[in-house]
Amino acid sequence: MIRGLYASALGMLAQMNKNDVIANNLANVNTNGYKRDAASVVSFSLAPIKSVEGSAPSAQTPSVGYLGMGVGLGKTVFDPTQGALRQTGGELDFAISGEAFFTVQTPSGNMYTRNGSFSLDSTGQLVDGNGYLVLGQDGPIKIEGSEVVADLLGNIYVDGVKKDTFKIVAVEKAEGEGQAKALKTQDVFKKEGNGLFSAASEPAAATGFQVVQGTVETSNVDLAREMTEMIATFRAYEANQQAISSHNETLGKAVNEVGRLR
Amino acid sequence: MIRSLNISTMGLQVQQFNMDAIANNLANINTTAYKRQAVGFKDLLYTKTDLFGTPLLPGAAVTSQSQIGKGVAISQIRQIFDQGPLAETGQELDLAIDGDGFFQVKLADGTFAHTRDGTFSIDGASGNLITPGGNMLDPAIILPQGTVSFKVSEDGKVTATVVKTAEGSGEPMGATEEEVGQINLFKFPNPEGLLRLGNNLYAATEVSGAVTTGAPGAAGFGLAKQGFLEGSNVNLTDEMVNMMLALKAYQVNSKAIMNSDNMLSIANQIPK
Repeated sequence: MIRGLYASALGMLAQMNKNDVIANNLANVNTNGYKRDAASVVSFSLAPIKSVEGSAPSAQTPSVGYLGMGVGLGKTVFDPTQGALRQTGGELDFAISGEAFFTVQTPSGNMYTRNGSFSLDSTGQLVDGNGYLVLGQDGPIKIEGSEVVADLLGNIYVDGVKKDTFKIVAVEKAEGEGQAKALKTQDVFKKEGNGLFSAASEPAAATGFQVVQGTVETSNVDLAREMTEMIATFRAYEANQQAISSHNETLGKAVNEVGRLR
Repeated sequence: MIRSLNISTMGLQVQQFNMDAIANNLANINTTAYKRQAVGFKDLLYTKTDLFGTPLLPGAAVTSQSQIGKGVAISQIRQIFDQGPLAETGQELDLAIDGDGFFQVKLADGTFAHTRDGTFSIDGASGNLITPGGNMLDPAIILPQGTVSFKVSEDGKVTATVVKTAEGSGEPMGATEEEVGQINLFKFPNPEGLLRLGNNLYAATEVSGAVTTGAPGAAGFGLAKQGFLEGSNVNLTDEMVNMMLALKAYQVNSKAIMNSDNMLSIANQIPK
């Protein structure tokens, strides 16, 4: 009985946290380079239920079955799907088409971003929206000149002279047969806020991407999907509350009616 | 739950801000040499949570990889210095820059400001070229007495046609061409860092970097176009699309607040 109450309360808690994740996705619906988070609700491991007939249960008492003990918020994973590219015409706006990241230099090491809405700092070096230096193959990219052109491979030309190439990284694709695990972008990169991602290990140089100048990648939050998820979360929350109410009623019966003497 | 209310409130706030910037762009759609602003957003730090879904205390072991975002914030308000369209006015006092660079003007307090608004006029008393706000162009261009017309070449050379009058009689003595001076342009490594002073003026800051000067047409500098004015670089279609997106994002955040509120009210119905 009490177990059921706890399970339902945990259910409400998990749905509440899921709602927070959805709210965060919706708040970032216009954030360039944002990748939506998907929260999964997982059930806790099952607990064996032992028979309580007769003597008190001991380690030797056979279990009569297994019972779920409730749910919690599982792993939140971001969805690396490409967001729509939006044309801005900005000379220093770049979008990557493909599952790869720009590298920026932050005080806590290199980080990675999909938000290629860059600008220049006071010394003419390319920086991201947080003011961190954008890295090329030869370190920070210095733009001295008036016309900046980037080709699809990420080579940067200033006034027709090649300056540098964006340091674009991705998860190294597993090669050959028998590779135990093929790493996924979500396993290697982790969200750090401010549009930045950190990597568990030094990511490899990316292949098979395209850099599109004059565009930015919009948020990949899909409104219809998030709204539906929100409704589903809401209803699940409601159902758990209903379950608590029924538990409450049964408990009330047990306490007030079962033991009544006439 | 309260967390999601906060997150959605932040969502409303940033979209409100976005809308303010769009409204200002739209208000300046006909402002000479206006440069549009664009608001950029960023996601905030993520809270790590344990498997139950409650945030971990600082230093506590991470038992799962679940993390919940803390909302959204303005990352930057970018000034976009794209070239505005040049419109021919035919006025010899109108000057536009076709390409990069700013005119420099001297403010009343002796400091300098920069502008791309080339709607100049002549200060009757001194013959100085001044901006609509009454600030002198710097380095000063002083048209001599008796100037009937003047020309600005694409590389900034100013020549005036001056009609001299004979002393005493006041008879015109014929027109001569005089070289009056040179209009120079000024450039910053990071124009986005310029401070807006209003009145189409921008001031240099630490962020904008050290100013460099050059004649119009020199490497990296635009050309001086006499008889033209630069229009606003606000693109109506873009702004309308931005406005629509801002509105939708606003609506969706308000929906999320309603949803969280409903969930809270359900929680409040538990004790019966």
